[in-house]
Amino acid sequence: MTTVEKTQKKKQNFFSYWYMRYEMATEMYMVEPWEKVVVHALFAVVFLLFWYFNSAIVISGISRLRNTSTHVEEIL
Amino acid sequence: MAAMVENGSVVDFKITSKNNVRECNGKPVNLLNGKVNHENNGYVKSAPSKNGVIKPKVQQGISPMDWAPFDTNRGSFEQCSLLTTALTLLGLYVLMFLGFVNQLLFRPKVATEKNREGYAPLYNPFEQFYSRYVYRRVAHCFNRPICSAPAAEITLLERESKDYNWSFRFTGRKLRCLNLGSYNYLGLSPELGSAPAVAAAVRRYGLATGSPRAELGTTRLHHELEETTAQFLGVEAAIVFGMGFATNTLSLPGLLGPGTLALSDENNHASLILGLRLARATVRVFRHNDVRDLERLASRARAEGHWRKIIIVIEGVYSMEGSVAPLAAIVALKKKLGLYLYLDEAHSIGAMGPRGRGVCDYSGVRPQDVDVLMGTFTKSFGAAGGYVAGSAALINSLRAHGHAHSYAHAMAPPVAAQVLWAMRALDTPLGQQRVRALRENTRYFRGRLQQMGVVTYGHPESPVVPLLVYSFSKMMGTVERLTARGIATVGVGFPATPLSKARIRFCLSAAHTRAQLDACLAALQDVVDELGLRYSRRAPAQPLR
Ligand SMILES: Cc1ncc(COP(=O)(O)O)c(C=O)c1O
Repeated sequence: MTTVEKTQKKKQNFFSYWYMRYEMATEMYMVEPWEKVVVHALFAVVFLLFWYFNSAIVISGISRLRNTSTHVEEIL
Repeated sequence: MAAMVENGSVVDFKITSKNNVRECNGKPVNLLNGKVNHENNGYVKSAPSKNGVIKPKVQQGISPMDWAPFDTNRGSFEQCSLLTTALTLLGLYVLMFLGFVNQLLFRPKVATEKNREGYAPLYNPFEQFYSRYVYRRVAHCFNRPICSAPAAEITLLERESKDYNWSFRFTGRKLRCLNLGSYNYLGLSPELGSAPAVAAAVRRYGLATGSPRAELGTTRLHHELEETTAQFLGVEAAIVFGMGFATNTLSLPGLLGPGTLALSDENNHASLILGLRLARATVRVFRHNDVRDLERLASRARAEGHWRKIIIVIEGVYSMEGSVAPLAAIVALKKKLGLYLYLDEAHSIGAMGPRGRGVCDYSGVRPQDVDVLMGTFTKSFGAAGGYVAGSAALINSLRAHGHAHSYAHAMAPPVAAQVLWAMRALDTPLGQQRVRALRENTRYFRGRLQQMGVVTYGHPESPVVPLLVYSFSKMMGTVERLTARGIATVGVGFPATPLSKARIRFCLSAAHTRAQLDACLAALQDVVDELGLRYSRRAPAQPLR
């Protein structure tokens, strides 16, 4: 085995190991494959919604707050 | 005991005497009760008052118990972090949701009854749902078929499922595993020498007597067993039954009735709970092994004053928590307040105490101070059945009023012979060596687990060792991996435990060698590393030699 293959294998192991831990933590370890797909999809939807919410509302709001200089003018 | 006697400035001698003589197996020695400083400490007023009016003076009269001289250790119940609990509950919620979706989309692969319109449902719908869509997924970890005697090693029949545990098929392979799942505390399996005695009993009396004890079912073996049991426990008399579960469920109704109050530990076994319900006694539940909570309930009940009897119902060693009852403290409380005590020693008899006499022996309590000693022969003695032991009056009353003596089938003679043999074997040097071996195994195993950083529940001396894994997936993962490494253990989850407290239960035995335990611990170490079961947030103990 070349060193490249070895590191690839290690990476694979790393990912499969932590995927297993993820399944353990979410009880996905003991459900049927199609059920896993459903729950992963649900998780993905929730995650993406949060992502969108954070980028569209929270981050833009914060940046608007930071860029605005109205309060500075008020003080002056 | 000694500490109690020393500071027992017994002022109210005359007042308590009648109560205590009646309630403590008629042994006047028990008069020396705890620290009683008040003249009127409630005994006088607690006689049944018909109109239920409670004078406030009575409530003040019961002085609080001084717990300082007693070991009131509940056992170790390390709390897990909030995150663990939240994740476990979330996981369960997701499981149930998936079960619901599953049920909507597919017909469950179970037998269904037809033409049941208009009938009440046979099963509780939630229980049915739970067992089909949560329990089924881990069903391969439970009720695993075996095909050998449950000694230190055991042979499992491998089975597989092609439809996600709706049905199983044997593969034909057999797995030889180290057995950490049987309540074989002393390792007294038949090959150790009981066979001749048991065979002789079969030849002489047959396999079964074909009748209850009260009719034609009594043989000389039964008398001998009852006498030996009473001697073994150090009390006046004993009565034996063919089944441990029924010993509780059928004896409690014979002892209690409406108008009696039972103070029951929250983790009591199903047989005790069923027995109390059948007895139609009022049941109040106290926090597991918490003597202060028990005291609060007991003194309130005493103050209420209208109970015919108040009885504390506890176990010696709790099989799901691995904890040991603080017996000395409870006995002191019982004496102080004039209560009765029912002690189920199913898991402790033979397994606890320097002489294997159970928790009385372990906590230095005289067996006469416990009103009803109950135990089973299924665990340490490697047989079947149960006993109740205590004063002769109690046992005679049970023969007349308990339902098991007159209606249940007598204990089979070969079983009686096995129990007799085991009880006698326990008192030989070899037997005592087994008791010591169990204690050493327990200490070693629990110590090593603590070093590993996992959460274990209970008392350091209890041979039942629950290892907390919290979620079903981890329980299943652990059991599967341990089986693959040749270790057979039992996983336990809801409904036998609280929802988010699934655990692996190791039952130690005197038959396990140090090498076997080390093999088990090595396998466990791998699994703990792999699944991340190091939940303990305590500093690890000092390394064991
Ligand atoms: C505390 C307790 N009491 C009674 C029983 C019933 O005993 P048996 O299994 O002999 O019927 C058990 C059994 O598990 C038990 O744990």
